[in-house]
Amino acid sequence: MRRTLLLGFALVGTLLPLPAAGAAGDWAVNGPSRVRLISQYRVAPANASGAWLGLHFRLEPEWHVYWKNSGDAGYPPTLSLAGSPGAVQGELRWPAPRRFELRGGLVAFGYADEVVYPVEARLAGTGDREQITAEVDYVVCQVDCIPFHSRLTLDQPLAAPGGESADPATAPLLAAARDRLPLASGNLLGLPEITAETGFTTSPTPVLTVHIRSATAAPAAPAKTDLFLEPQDLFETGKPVVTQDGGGLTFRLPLTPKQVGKPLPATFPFAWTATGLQPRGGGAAFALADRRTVSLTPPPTPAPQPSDRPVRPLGLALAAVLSTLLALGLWGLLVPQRQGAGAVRQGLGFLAAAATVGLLYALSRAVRTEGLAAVELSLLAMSLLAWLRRRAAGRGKLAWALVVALGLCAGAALWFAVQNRIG
Amino acid sequence: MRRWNRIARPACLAALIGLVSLVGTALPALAKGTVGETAPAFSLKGLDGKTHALADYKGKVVVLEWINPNCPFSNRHAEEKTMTTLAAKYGEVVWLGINSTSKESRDFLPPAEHQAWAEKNGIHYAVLYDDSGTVGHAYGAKTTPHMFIDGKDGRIAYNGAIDDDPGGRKPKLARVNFVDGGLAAERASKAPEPATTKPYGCSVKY
Repeated sequence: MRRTLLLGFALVGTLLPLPAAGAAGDWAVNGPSRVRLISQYRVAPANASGAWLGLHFRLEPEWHVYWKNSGDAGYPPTLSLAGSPGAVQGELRWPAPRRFELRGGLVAFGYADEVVYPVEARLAGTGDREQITAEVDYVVCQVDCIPFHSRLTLDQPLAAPGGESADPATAPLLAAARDRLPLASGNLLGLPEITAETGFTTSPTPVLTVHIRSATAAPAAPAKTDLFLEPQDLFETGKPVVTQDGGGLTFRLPLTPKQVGKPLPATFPFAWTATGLQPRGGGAAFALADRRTVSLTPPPTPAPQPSDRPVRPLGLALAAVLSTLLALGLWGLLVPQRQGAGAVRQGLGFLAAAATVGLLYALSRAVRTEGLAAVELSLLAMSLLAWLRRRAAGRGKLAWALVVALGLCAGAALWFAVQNRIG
Repeated sequence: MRRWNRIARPACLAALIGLVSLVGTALPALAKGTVGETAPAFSLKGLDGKTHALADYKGKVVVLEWINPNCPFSNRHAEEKTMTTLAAKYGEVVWLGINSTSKESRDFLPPAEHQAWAEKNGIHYAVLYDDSGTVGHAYGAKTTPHMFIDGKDGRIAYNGAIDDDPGGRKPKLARVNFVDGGLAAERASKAPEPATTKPYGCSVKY
C-alpha cells in the first residue's frame, strides 16, 4: 500500500510541470480559455520597480473575459502575487474594453480572442532568479459562464542593472497591451490639445455628460467610440449617446438611481473611460480615462430659453400632427355638421381647438413624453367615443355606455398626466 | 358627415399607431428593480405544479433568487447550501427561486430534471418558471444568482448579489452575505444596508 502511494507521488512529481524559466510561464488550460504569466524581460534587472508583467489570456471564439466593470454579468479577474517567495508586488491594469450585447438587453464589458492585462510590478529579488507565483481568479463567458482559479508561476532570471534584456516574443505583446491602456486625462503624452469635461444634469432624467474637445480636430467618429463607467453602486447606466460638434465629441450616458426615496449624495466621483478616440492627423486609436467628482445637485438652472431647448424634429413633427388631429377632431365634434351652423358655434369650436393645442403644449413641459403620449391617446379615444355616441344617438343603453366610457377616458387622461409628472 | 368620416377614421388610426409605437419605445427607459419602488407583481407556475403569486404573500418578506441549475454560480451556491441555510435561518421569510431561462436556451431544464437537481441539493422552497422572461425583465434580473428582497410593505428593499465573493474563494465565514444582512435588518424593521450591490454570475438566459 505504502509503496503504491510512494510510486503514485513519484509519478505525480514527474508529471507536474517545473516552473517555466524565462519571459513566459506555462499556459494553464481552463475549458475554453488558457492563461499564463508573461514578463517583458528575458533577463530582468534585479530590484527593479518599473517592470511590466502581463496576464495573458487566449480564448476560444465567442468567449470573453472582463474589464474592471464587467457590465451586467460576470466579474473582473483578480490577481494576487502574495504567494511568491520574494516580495514581488504588482497590480492589474485594464486595457480599453469593448461592449458585448447579450440576449435580453444585457451587456458585458471586456475582451474577446486574446488579451494581455499589463501588471505594473516591482521585482524585489536580488539573486539570479525571481520566483513569481500568481493566484488568479477569473470568469470566462460566452452564453455560459465558467469561473476558474489558477496558480500561475514564472521563474524570472535576474541580472544586475544594465545586464537586462527584453524578450523578443513577449516584449511586443506587452508593449501592444500597454498601448491599449487608457491615457489619463491629466497625462496626455503627445496629445496636449485634448481636453475633457465631465458634468451631470438632471433635466429631465439624470445624465452624465463627458465632452472631449480637441483644439484642432475631432477626436473620432461617434460610431467608433464608446464610454464605460468604472464600478459604482449608485446608478444603473444605459448606453451612451455620442454626438459630434465642432471640435469635439459629447457622450451622454443615461443614469437611473438604483434606489428611490433616498436623496442622492451632494457629490459623486465618476470614473470613465472613453474608447476608440482618434488622434489628430491619424494614427492608432486611443482611450482616455478620467475621474471627476461632480455635483449631483446642480444649482437650479434658469428657465430654459427656447433657443437652448433641444429640438427633436421627429418628436416635434409627431406632436404637431397629433395636436392638429385632436384639434380638428374636437372642432368637428363641436360644430354641427348640418348646413348653416351658426357663426357662434363655429367660433367656439375654433377656440376649443386652440385651447387644446395650448393645453398640450403646457402639459409637454410638465409631463414626461410617454405620459403625454398616453394623455393624447386618451383624448383621441374620447373623440372617437363621442363620435360613436352621436352615431348611436337614440339607442338608449348603448349611448349611455358610451357616456360612461367617455368619463373613464377623461379620468385616464388625468391619471396618466399625474403619474408622469416631471420632478 | 360622410366626408368627415373618410378623413377622421384613417387619421385616428394613424395617430393611434404612432402613439402606441411612441409609448413602446419610451418604455425600456423606465427603471427596473429600483429599491424603494413597488415590487412588480407576478403569478408563475412552480416546479411543484402550483401557481405562486406575489400577492399570496402580502405582508411578508419575500426573497427572490434568480436561479439556473446549469449556471456554475447557481450550482455552487446550491452545493454550498448558501440559500437553503439562509432560508432556514429566516423561517418567517418566503423564499422563491425564479428561473427565467428561455425555452430556446440550451440551459433550459424540463421540470423533472430541475426537480431532481433541487432535491439533490436539498432545495425545498418553490422554484418558479418564467421562461418568457417577463418577471425577470420586470425586476431587471441580470445574473444567476441575482437576489431581491421584497419588504413587508411590498416595496423592493434589496437588489444585488448574494455575497461579496464572486469567485467563491473565501472561507464561508469570511464572506459578507448581503441577503443575510438585509433579512436581519428587515426583521428589526430597518432598511437593508447596503440596499444595492452589483450582482455577479452568469447572465440570465433570456
